[in-house]
Amino acid sequence: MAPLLEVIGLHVEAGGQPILRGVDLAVEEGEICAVMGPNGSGKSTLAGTITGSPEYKVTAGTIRFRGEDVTGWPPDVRAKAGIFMAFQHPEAIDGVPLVQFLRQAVAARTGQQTSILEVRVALMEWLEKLGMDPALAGRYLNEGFSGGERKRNEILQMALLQPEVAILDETDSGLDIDGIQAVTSGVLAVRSARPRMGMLLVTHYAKFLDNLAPERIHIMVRGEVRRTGGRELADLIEAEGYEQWQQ
Amino acid sequence: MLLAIRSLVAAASGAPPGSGPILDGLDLELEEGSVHALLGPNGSGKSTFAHVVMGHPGYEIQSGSVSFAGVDLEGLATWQRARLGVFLAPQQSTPVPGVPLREAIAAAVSLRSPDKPHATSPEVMISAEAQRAGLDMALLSRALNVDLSGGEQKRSEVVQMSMLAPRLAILDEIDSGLDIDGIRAVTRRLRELVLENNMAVLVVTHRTRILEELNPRRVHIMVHGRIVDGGGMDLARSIEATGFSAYR
Amino acid sequence: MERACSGYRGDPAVELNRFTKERSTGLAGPAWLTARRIGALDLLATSDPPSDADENWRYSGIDALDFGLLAPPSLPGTSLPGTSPLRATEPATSPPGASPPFTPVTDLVRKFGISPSITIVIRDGRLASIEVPEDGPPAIGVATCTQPSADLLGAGDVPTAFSARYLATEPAALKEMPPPEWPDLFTALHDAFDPGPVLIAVPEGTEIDKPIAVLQLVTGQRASNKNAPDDSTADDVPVTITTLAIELGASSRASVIEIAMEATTLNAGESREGASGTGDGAGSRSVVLPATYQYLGEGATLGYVGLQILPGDYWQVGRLASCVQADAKLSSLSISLGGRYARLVTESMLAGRGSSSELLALYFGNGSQVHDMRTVQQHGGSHTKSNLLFQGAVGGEARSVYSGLIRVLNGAVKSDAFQTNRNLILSDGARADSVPNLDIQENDVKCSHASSIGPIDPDQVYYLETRGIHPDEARRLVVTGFFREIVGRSPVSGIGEWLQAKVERHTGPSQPAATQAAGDAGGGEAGSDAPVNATGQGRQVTGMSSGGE
Repeated sequence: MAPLLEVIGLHVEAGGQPILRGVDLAVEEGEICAVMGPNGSGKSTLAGTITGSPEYKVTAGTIRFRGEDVTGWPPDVRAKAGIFMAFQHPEAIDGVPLVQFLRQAVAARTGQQTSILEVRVALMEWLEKLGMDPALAGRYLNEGFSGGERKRNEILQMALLQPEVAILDETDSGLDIDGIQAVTSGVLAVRSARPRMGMLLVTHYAKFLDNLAPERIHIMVRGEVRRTGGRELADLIEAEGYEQWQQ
Repeated sequence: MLLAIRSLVAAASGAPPGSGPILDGLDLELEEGSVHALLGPNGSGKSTFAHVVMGHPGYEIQSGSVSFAGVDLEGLATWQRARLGVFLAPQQSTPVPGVPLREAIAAAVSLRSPDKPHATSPEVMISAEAQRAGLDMALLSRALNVDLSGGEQKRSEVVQMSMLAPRLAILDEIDSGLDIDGIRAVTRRLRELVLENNMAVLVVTHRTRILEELNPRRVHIMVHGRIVDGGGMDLARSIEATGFSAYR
Repeated sequence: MERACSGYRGDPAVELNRFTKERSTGLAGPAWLTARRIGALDLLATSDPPSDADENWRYSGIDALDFGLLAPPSLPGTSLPGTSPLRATEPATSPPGASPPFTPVTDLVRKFGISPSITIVIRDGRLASIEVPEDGPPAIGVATCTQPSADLLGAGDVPTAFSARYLATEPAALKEMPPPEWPDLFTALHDAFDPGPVLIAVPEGTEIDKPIAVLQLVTGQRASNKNAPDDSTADDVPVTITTLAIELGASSRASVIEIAMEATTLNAGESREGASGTGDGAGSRSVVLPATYQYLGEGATLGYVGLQILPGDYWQVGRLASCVQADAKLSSLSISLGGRYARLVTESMLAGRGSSSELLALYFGNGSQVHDMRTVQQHGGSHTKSNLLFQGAVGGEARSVYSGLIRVLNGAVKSDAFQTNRNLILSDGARADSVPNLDIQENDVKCSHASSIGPIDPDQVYYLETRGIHPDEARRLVVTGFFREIVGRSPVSGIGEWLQAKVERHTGPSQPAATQAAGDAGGGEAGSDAPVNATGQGRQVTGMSSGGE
């Protein structure tokens, strides 16, 4: 069977500059993978390209989702199919109530109308699970949210949208230790409800991987996956940095 | 004392009465040439504190005092505090479209010390600083903070800090989004500036990684807008292991 | 000048009774031009003066113009009182020691950072002189059909032969141009009393590196009594009509900069625009109706900059129309700085397969100026691409209006049309409105529009302040930064520096209020009826419509 998500020979440009130079990786059903790498190595570009951000231009290679070539799909179609990304820097959107936004996103994902009440119930439940202020339910999307609240809110969206594959782009950065615990237990809760969901974690922080225990860690340097291995790779980098990889 | 904060109470400007201050009786002291760390849960007021010291118009001091090198900062505009030698690397660097990083630094440097001619031209210095911080030289000609990755933003902040040579640098999560190499480059530069300029540093962070490199003289724990605990690296390590639940 | 602002509106037939048929038919010109004028007279007879209530004049403030005071332009050959006519000049090679009769206009053009291949001076719509550099004129034709022009250029055979042809037949730049999107009293007035287009023609395959400079000088004076019917009054608002037709032959390449200014600029050495500023002039000194036509033959490339620096008591109602044939490429930048009320209707027709247009505009308003920008991006051919970026800033009590239409005609498959309008509000009294429209008749196309209106972002000012930069300087940096992209994309290089300096000067030191609290910076008061309008927060609106593959 084809992997849940497969990236094959992916070359990507942003603003005319080549960023990814032939990336290969796969996420199997139920698998957690991590991508680590120095700043500017193309981790966020990879995440953005998988979700279909118009900023990035695929010049070669393909992205397959359940065996189907999705390289040309617009972002909304990918999201509807179940490809989800938790953003590194979630934007505030003034004037769009969080509840309204979630309701529309859930409707788009499931193809069914959900009542405001249902969404609100799920929202309150997850606000509590993620250690967030219940008052946030009445706000506009990310408006007046602290950095930590925005990150948690991404996981909240993941929980409600029930994706097939979720990409977490530095969800841990800027989060305090309690926040990391909350996000980790949130992710684990979603996974226990959807054991077949695949995950791709982009991070700099080895500790974030402790509880999530990814099966594979990919080291990305200058737009290529240089090595794939287990937890020991994360410790190696924590100790030595990326200098040896930069040649 | 370079920075002395006494019983500081501050809130968002124009906040409705009764909504409660963000900083609620904060005391903190920082000596010249020292490195301190400020830890606290998300939402405890760390970033607000940094902005209040810098004079952000979005916050107002309700009581208490902030003095820098013996000067009461209240009543001074942000640019005046900057020229006194306070520097803030904010958690998020605001994009300023159309204004190249190089141009902004040049404007800032010429304003900061008009009477002190530099031995080396600012142009040369900027390039050297970019190299030290591991910032791609091409970014110097691009618009300030526009479309920068997290790591590039932090390196850009360090370049600006080095160029301005402040007496106090408040670094709000300078390590967040920065790779290991970046953390090393940043801490190396910080240590140099502490030695060369007797610069004081206040590092706001969630991670011990950067603190292991900097070895701060004191670690402050901030919860609900006040300092609730203080200690050395051991305190920081125990927080990283167990979180802040003990203080809630 | 109370009356000019009275807002009085009445029967157009009565109001415009000095714009007579006799006066129009009395204008010189070949048969095709006369026919154009007569056609326009018919439209004029049935046109009501435009009003703010009309969709295409929404937010314009045109109601403040008293049409009853409009006085016709002078007749050809009229020597205007108090000015000496410009002379045709030799190539700028005065014998050593001889003092030139006046400052060569080319020097004036150089002040804008432009080093022209030729300078064409047009005064109140009529070709006045042509100045060529030492190394001779470029291989282009410059002609009018109402004046003998060969002797003005005084060099080469190309213009003479060209001029003869131009006299006989209507040039493509007029004949092939789609009619105005919104025919109204002003377009009718323009065409009925057009003194005759000045044509710049670049022959097939010719490539001109240095820009062709066109100085559109306006005297702002009405006809003297001995040439005009004796019904003029001191309050008269003279109407000046100008037409410039730029025609590029197949596979040719050229750039043109057209500068509209008051004629006194030349004599006084500096622009009244700088002195009187910014729309603060009471009443209405003059109305200018300019039209510029750009016709690009197959595979041609035209760069065009239109710079409008009229004084602050002028009204302008202008048209900039283009017709682009297959594989041709137009880059156009309109810079609107002067005038009390300055309207420019930009109409682009991408007629041929694979043609493209980049349509840029920069407007900056102060005092009580109004900049009124209307655009139409029409796609007629397949695989065509238009990219529009209009950016403006308004301070003081100034206002700006942007209204844009994208129209993709049947058959224009695989076309891309982009439209972006960005506005910066620099003071509480200023206001900007932005109205995008789409009219898509074809499926397989990509169109998008985006507009934003907002004050200077206080966070940007604060960030720069944390580096020790004074808020005034920070605001200047932010405003020049706002325009940097568009200035950098100018199709005529060299003007960027002048423009950047101009923008900086316009931004000036800010109001004390903005200095004390960056958080309060600007916030335009705006009506609630606008589809997109200013608020203290700023609004971003984007839309995207995409046809199926």
